Amino acid sequence: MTTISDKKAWYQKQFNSFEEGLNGQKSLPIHDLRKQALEQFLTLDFPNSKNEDWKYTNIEPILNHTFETSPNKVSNQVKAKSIEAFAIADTSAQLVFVDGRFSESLSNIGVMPTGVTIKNLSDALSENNDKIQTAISERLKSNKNIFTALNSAFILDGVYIEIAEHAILEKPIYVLHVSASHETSLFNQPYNLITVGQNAQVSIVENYASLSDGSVFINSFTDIAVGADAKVDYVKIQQENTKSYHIGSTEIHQHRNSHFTHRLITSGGALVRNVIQVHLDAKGIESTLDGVYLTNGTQHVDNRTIIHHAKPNCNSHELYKGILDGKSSGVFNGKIIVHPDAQKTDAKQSNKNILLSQDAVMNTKPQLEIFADDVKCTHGATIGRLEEESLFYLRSRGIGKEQAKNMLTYAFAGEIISRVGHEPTRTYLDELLLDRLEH
Amino acid sequence: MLEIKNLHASVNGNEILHGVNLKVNAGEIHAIMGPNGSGKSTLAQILAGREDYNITEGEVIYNGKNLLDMSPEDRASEGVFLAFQYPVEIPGVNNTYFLKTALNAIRKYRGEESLDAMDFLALVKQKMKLVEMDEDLLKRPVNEGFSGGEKKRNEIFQMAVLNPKLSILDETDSGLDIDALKIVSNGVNKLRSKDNAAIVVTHYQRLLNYIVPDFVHVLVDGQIVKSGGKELALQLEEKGYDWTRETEGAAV
Ligand SMILES: Nc1ncnc2c1ncn2[C@@H]1O[C@H](COP(=O)(O)OP(=O)(O)OP(=O)(O)O)[C@@H](O)[C@H]1O
Ligand SMILES: [Mg+2]
Repeated sequence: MTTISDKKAWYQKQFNSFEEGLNGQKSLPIHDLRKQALEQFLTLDFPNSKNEDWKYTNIEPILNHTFETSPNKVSNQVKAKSIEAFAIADTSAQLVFVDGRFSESLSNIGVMPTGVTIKNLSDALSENNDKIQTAISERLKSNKNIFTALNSAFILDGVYIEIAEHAILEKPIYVLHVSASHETSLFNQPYNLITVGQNAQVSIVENYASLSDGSVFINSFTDIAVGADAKVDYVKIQQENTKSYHIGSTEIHQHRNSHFTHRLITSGGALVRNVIQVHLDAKGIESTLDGVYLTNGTQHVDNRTIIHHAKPNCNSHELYKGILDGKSSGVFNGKIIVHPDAQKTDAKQSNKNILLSQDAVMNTKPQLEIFADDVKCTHGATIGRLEEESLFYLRSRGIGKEQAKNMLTYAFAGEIISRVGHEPTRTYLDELLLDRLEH
Repeated sequence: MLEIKNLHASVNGNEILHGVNLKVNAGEIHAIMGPNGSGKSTLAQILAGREDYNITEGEVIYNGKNLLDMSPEDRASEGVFLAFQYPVEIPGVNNTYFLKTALNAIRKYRGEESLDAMDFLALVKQKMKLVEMDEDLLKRPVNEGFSGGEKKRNEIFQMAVLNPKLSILDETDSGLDIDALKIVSNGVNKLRSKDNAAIVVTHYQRLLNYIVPDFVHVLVDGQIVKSGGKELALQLEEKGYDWTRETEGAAV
């Protein structure tokens, strides 16, 4: 695959075989949207370093790989035992996807309280759910993003969560994506639609992990609508192997007085790019975006956040922390747009990084576009090394250099993890972090 | 136990220590006094293994080994302990966890078994009493937000838990109120034995009423200009450091 048109032809070919496997589902209305999305995909360009938004992230490695579309039927190769390591205790439901396809046998969705609907997207599509169709067709109207088009073209599975007004789900919904394919490099395109009604509450933990050392390309899209006075906590974990590629988009719409938190923990992946876009569409909204990324080797992690302060009296908080080792690289781009209407906006953004090696690189850039006058916007970015004073203090008490470094690194990253409300998830993340630091 | 021979040290090309000589035997307590900026902390930090200093001349022998060749953690494991003049705040690292990690690292070095949570807790409880430390401080991140006095107490508490052979206390008394000074000194005295030794850096005779030194040394401009018994501290208190300079000058 040398030229761009060859690359697109490859995806066209993948679409054809995907379509063949759809059988009866081809007659569902969503299929017209898939074809429309594919058309869009074929007309849009792949980004390159000349695009300001892609200046530091080179997607050549993804394009040069011949990823095949995941089989439409879930593989039964994966047994419960193999995913035990990724278990999180005390959740309300567990949805497991193997290579992007829902595994009923590994999942566990018990009886849900009234007003709570949790199912896999494929089932929701079969039921002709028009919420999904509306979301996709609305997006395609104005979409300029080639990866979004690709995601819609291959839309088939993911999670569908609907929390009705006033419904409260105390324990988190756990969504686990594992890649299991050894020989073939697969791509999968999860789409998640989460709708939370007025005054409702839910928390979701989404985890991407690898069961094999095969290469995988995940191009995910998540739509979240947070109703008035509702509260949504979202945790996303990326712990794939270092041959994996992950492009993830999350689009959040928040309504009056709603609270939303998003916590992103990235420890795996060869190339990871996360774009989180939040629309604060009414008054009195609280929105928090936190992230921590630990990279080593030649990993590359690109995080971007875009916060649209559209209405007055909303607060947004962002704290992203990076720990970069080896020859790895990171990007943080935090955009805050305060629209003319959005007086009394309070937006705080901070990106702190520690470079553990000479060769690690971090590019960080805040972007504030402020069109209102009575606002408080603060931003700060630091790129530093572990404090020599602290390191010496620990070592002077007998703690070896490597362990002392790990302790300080752990403490630095721990700030984000300690903010995760669900204790078992926090413990899981603690262990993930410690394990990561020791290797 | 410790022999410092003609130690010259510099930082960024500035020589701070100009040939320090000092011999400390097991069972002894040595006080080092001297004006601000004379190099007391520099000496203390070099002994603990701080890497910012260039040793341009001289050597330090500790229990027959070349101390300057050892990493800070190995020195700690061999029994060297520095109570910092300015203890470092480490956000995010829990005090108890930190101390347990330190103690077990030292035990491992010495070929001893790790202490389990129960045994560690028992030890900590006992040592906390010794310095009358508030249990709450243990649950907090290392030194973070501690008052000046609490930080100093935490240093002595760590010392009590790690049970070093050679303790270097760098102005542990400054920042302590009278009661705390008594408690901390009492703690130090209880840890005293014929097998271990201490170097106590201080500006005040006051501390030496509680921790009675066998020797007092005066460090001026990176050199020990005068040594004597505990009465030297009293003379210094009375006459000031200029007096040592004058007597030095007269001797030359
Ligand atoms: N890392 C460093 N960089 C530059 N100068 C240093 C450094 N460390 C020490 N010095 C200088 O060396 C001299 C001795 O400092 P030191 O801290 O050892 O003094 P001290 O005797 O402990 O003083 P005090 O009684 O005030 O604690 C001072 O002039 C100090 O500024
Ligand atoms: Mg000093």
